[in-house]
Amino acid sequence: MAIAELEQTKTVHVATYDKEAAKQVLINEVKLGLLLAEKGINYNPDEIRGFQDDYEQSSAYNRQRGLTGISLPHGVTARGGFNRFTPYSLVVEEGQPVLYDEESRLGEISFHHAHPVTKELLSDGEKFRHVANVSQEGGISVAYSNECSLKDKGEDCLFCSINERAKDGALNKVLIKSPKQVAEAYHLARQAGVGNHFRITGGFVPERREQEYYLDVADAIRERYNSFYGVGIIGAPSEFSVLHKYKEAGFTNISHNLEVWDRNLFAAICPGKEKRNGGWQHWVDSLEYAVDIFGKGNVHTNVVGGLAPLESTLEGIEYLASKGIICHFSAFRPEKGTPLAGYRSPEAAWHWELLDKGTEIFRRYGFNTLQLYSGPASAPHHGQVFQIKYGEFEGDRLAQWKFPSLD
Amino acid sequence: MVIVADEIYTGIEIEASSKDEVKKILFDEAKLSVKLTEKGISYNADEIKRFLDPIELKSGFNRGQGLTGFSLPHGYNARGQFSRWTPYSLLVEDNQPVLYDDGTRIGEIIFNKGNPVSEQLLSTGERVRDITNISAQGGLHVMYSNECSLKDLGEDCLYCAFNERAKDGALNKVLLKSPRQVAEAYDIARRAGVANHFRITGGFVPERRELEYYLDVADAIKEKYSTFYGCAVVGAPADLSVLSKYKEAGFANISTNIEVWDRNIFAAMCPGKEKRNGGWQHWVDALEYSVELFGKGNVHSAIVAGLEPLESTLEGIDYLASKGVVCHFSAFRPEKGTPLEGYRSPDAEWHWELLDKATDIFHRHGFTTLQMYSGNASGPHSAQVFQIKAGEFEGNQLTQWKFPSLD
Repeated sequence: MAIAELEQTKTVHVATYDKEAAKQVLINEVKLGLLLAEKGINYNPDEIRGFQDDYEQSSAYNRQRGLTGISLPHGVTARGGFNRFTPYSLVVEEGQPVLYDEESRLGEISFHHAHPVTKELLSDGEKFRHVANVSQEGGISVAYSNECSLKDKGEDCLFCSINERAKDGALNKVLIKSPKQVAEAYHLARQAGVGNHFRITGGFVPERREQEYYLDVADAIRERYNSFYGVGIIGAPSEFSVLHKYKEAGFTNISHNLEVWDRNLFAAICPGKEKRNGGWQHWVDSLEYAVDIFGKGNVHTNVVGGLAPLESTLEGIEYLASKGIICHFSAFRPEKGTPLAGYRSPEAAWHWELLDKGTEIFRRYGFNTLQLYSGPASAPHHGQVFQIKYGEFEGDRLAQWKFPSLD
Repeated sequence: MVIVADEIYTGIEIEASSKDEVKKILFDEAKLSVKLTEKGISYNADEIKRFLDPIELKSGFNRGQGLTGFSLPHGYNARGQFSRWTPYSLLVEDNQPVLYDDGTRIGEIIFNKGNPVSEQLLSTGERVRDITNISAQGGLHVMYSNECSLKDLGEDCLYCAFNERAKDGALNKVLLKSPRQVAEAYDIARRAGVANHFRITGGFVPERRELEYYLDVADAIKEKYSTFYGCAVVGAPADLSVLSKYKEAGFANISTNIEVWDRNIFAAMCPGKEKRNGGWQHWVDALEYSVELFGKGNVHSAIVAGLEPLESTLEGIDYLASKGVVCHFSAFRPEKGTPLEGYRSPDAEWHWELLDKATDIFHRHGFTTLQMYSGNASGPHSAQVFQIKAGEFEGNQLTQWKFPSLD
């Protein structure tokens, strides 16, 4: 059995339905997901390969390593790199991948599969998937640029591999997507019922021209649709008043990703954001200004969980929540080619404590599930824990949350 | 066999025909050492217990956890926590502990033995070990205070467990040692031939009274001995001119431990050092000023490796070396009860790269083995690699380095 620094109650069959007992089953599965991320999974790649979706394997989110995203037996999403020396293993039984913790059978898992629309072609011959990703929640995510201009200044965020990944021509066929391409991908997704949220993000563009670009994209989408539901992820603008333009263009949510709450660590880890955008205080001011425009719960930011002490991260989440801003968080994954290559993310118990306390803060400030999924890409990391705490599940299974349909 | 980025020696008996081949064997053993720290060792505690030295088990350096320090088959020092999920295991064969890497026999290891003089009693009834540690190099390490006054200001260094450990009454019988006790322990050790280096360190004392204290200790030692060879580990004083008093008192070496080179991360990780001592620049100034007093190679600093990017740490080591300061480094070990509890140190490859590149810097700037060991307690972490590069070994064995005898 895995060393229980995370106290996990073993899966028990709930005979008489008890919501609290089911909640505990799901929380245990979240903890299991974190342990899988920390300790990895032992498996025979030849045996498992057939279960994995080709597109998911080549997705930038997968970083081409090991297993693609999986759903655990009760529906919690997880990932795990290969490791021979771990209590966790995948075995194929009756044609299904089954997860074990040492000798204890945890149950069948399922691998995530890309939506079929990602295989479609745009009118210019590009594949949909070279322009956008379709999320499990039924939204699309566009990284409009796969490069960040901070590279040229030597001011990349230390944890960020966007410029490293941009070197991979197979992963990044289209380095800068045109507004027309993005709008066409959006159209295809929306027709397929998976354009219910539109997230656009990317690296810093030279001369900070993302505003023009985002507005052009919104206009291109609105040539076909009156409205869309989505988030523009942007750096804090030097002039706050331009934030109105995103709202006018149709974005219902906005996000500036602060990455690190501690202002000294922010300066060290995000030198470009510190130098080029007025620094930490300006980013925080911009977020607070954005709440007046977009409303509470519709302004987002993100911290990379594991780059700053837990206490500092929670202080940031709490402060921002008190201003109506959802400070999402992911789990730091050290990436090859970055200055933090070779670092290791904190252990599972650390990430659980952040998830547990972070989602308590979200609840206390009255944010809702839709808002939790409407911001940056790290939303599902804590969105599921939030749902479990709110009792948003049936039986002892957490179903995949979906954005409300727009059409 | 463990999957490794760098190929390591796996215990095959090689008849090394040249010094370079032996060097390779010893480097591989150094890499193995950092891997044991990262991945841990599987062993049967009941079977191994009898090999562990009671004096070593009680040492503050052991933190009361798992295995004590040991020597690998070719003499390189190592440590390793218990882990069931690791390629490394200890078995007892012919009444000797033998290390295995995933079924491959690496060889016999030898656990460190404490010096019996540690058990002797002072005239006040305390044991020598309650006042000082005796190092494998034949020197003394005294923590004059087991508490740091930064605690009361809420400005402890984030990684530091000093104040946490002070709560352990068994490990810390004497919280504040008197100069007389220290001098008596020194006398006992010197007569036993193991006081060939005298290191004194501790937490911040209220009102920064360490200067008076250190001078009192030096005076007490000099009541019996005309000189001693040692190092005072001090915070950067507000008035740099006081540094000359340490020299006058008889300290041949001085160390001001900067902990982190990146000045923003320094401010985040060492809030007390940032606020109470004029900040990062003043600490660097103090080091450079000290070189004028103590000479090149006799001024030391320390970095906790793994709190900042590798490049930044190496930049600091190189800059300080160019000024004549030996910037030692240890491997960050997250400690219970600290704000960084739950963090994980970077992986073994990261620590090896630092060891490799930093010892090149030490050699390039002409430091000697004696200087590598004469500073703060982090010295031995890199000194063995330094010695291997210098060819300081016989046959295929790295023998335990000792300070030159004073008497």
